Amino acid sequence: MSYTVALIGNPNVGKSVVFNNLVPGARQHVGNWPGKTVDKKYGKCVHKGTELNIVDLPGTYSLTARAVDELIARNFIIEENPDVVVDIIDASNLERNLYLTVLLLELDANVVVALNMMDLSEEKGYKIYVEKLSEQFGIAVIPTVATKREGMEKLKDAILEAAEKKSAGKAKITYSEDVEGLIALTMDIIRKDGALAKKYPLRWMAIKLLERDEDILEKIKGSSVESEVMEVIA
Amino acid sequence: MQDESLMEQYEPLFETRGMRVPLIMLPEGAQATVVRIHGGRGICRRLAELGFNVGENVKMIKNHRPGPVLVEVKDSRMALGRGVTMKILVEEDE
Repeated sequence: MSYTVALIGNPNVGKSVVFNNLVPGARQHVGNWPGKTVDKKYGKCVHKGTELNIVDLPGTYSLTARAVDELIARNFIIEENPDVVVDIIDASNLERNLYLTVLLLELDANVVVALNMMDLSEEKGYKIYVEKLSEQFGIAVIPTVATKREGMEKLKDAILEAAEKKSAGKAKITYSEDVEGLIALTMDIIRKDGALAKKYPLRWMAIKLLERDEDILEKIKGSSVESEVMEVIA
Repeated sequence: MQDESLMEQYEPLFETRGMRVPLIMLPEGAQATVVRIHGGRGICRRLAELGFNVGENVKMIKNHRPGPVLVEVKDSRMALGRGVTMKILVEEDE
């Protein structure tokens, strides 16, 4: 049995440090500046008899298809569908970092959150209610200090547990009533094209179409429902 | 090292405190609040992702011509091209 695990997060939150900790013998270059990792890096680790194929992705603030590094991260998540996505978060900068978490949940990714840099966060005087956070999102949240290897065993346990459960986060992000109406309408239209509807999470696709996400607009080209969708989002 | 005649041109052209100006006009060390993003869907979205929302506090760290400016927003430092910083309208804190 083996699972694919993707590491994702904002730039400079310590993704590569976590990667090095998880993968025995890995010597990923780590630098204290954003943009260190520009391509995906692969590694393997075995935890409790299960092989985990770990992929280190470039840092990204969002999952929009724009810059090349962001595209690498996005494509990996939506096209290769990793079993677990570990979202590494800078605990000393929650507000900024949770934006990506919400995007991942919207994508129905099987997310485990690693609350990294807990030491820095405490230094800044923050008190984070980890259980509350986990409850709100319906996913595991593991506090870590990657540079001191703290929380790594717990993180591996959580990854394994999430991989076996295969359940995406339960939190649903609800928009205002009129937007929800449009989302429902778009979802109904996409459903008519069975092949398209199976490709990506339905709700996510509807939201991206309403946002006029270029990549997804491209994907519905040639579909039988293209003109109908264009009418709704026009 | 520092050429004085060069330093002169980095002085702000006029007093910006309490005024609405493009982010690029803030002198180094100045703090301001974002009041508006002037731009299309794409740039507004990108800037929001980076943390430049209306009402957000920003601090100008480095503003040397030529080259990108360094701005602190939401506890992170962002390097922005001079072009996009013209699209961010801010009000400098008194």
